[in-house]
Amino acid sequence: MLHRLSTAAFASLALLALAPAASLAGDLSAHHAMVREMPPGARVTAAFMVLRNAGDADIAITAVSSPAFGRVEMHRTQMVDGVARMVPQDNLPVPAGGELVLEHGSWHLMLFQPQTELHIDDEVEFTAETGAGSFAFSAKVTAAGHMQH
Amino acid sequence: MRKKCPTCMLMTAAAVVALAAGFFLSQQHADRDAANLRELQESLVSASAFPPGFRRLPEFTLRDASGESLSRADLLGQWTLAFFGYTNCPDVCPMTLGVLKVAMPELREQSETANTEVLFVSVDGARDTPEQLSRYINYFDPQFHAATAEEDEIRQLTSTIGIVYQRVENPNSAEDYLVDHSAGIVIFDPDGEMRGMLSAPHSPDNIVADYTKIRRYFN
Repeated sequence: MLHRLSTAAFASLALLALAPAASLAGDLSAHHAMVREMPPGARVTAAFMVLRNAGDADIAITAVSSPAFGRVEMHRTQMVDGVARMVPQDNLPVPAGGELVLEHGSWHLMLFQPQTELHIDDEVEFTAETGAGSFAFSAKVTAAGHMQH
Repeated sequence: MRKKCPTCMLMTAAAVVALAAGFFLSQQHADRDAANLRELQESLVSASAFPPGFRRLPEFTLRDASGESLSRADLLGQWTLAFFGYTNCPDVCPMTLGVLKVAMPELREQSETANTEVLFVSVDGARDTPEQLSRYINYFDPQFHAATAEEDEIRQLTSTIGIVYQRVENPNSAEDYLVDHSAGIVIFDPDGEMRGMLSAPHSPDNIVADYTKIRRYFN
């Protein structure tokens, strides 16, 4: 009985402990997250997704990391007179009650120094830092040329 | 004073009339060409078509994915869709080659767009060795061609045909520099004349539709 109680108590505590992690950056969720499969020999690829913010305050993601890559940078492709320019970004702004679409030709995560060989359908874990805690999500490796949302 | 010869005068007059008529007709022809080209332009979804003599492939020597030399003469006699980028390109290049991979079977299938080859030219000859180009291009389509060259050669080729690129240093890692570059796919005809440019953002449907119209016009 005591054992069962303490298990229940532990479970509630665990839930309480988990809750902030889930709700701190809390209102954030990632949808259709995908990493573009790396062509052989390539050292760089990109991740795309829709970031939603269910809360009533804007959230800025200030850094992203992944165990699968040595470095993750936040970038935005901008087309200027037919030239694709890669513009590094300090943060990913996800507006209150809205979303930020990371897609081909626009905002995206740039992934450098792959730590392992990735294959189609592999899941890649990411951690995004915000001023209000961190937010974890995963993305599926998808073939190039099939990145349209 | 020389005497005027009536026959001569008649002949001169006839020559003038003929010249004028010829000029008028050729002018009319040029006007009609311009009107047709305008009509073609307006029908294109995401591309431009160019009048004859707009830009031509200059002489060049690149190194292809098997280490062989690739020159202007190798592109003559076929239509070429040329795209300029680099294999460490995170976004635009894999997307564009992925789109071409989807569009090309259809273009090869249609008789009016047959005889088309894809050429990926790396503007990053420093990192893109033939081995790297070979691995990269075969991943998309083993029928695609890839080539690169020393900086000077690439600079000369690209500037002649209106392609621009610029190396952008990465403050986080010197070896991970990026390259901003034109995202358009350039269309060359079998004589090395630039006939059009497919504009980003690319999609297989737009490429098939626009390239077919351009080929139909110039075929």
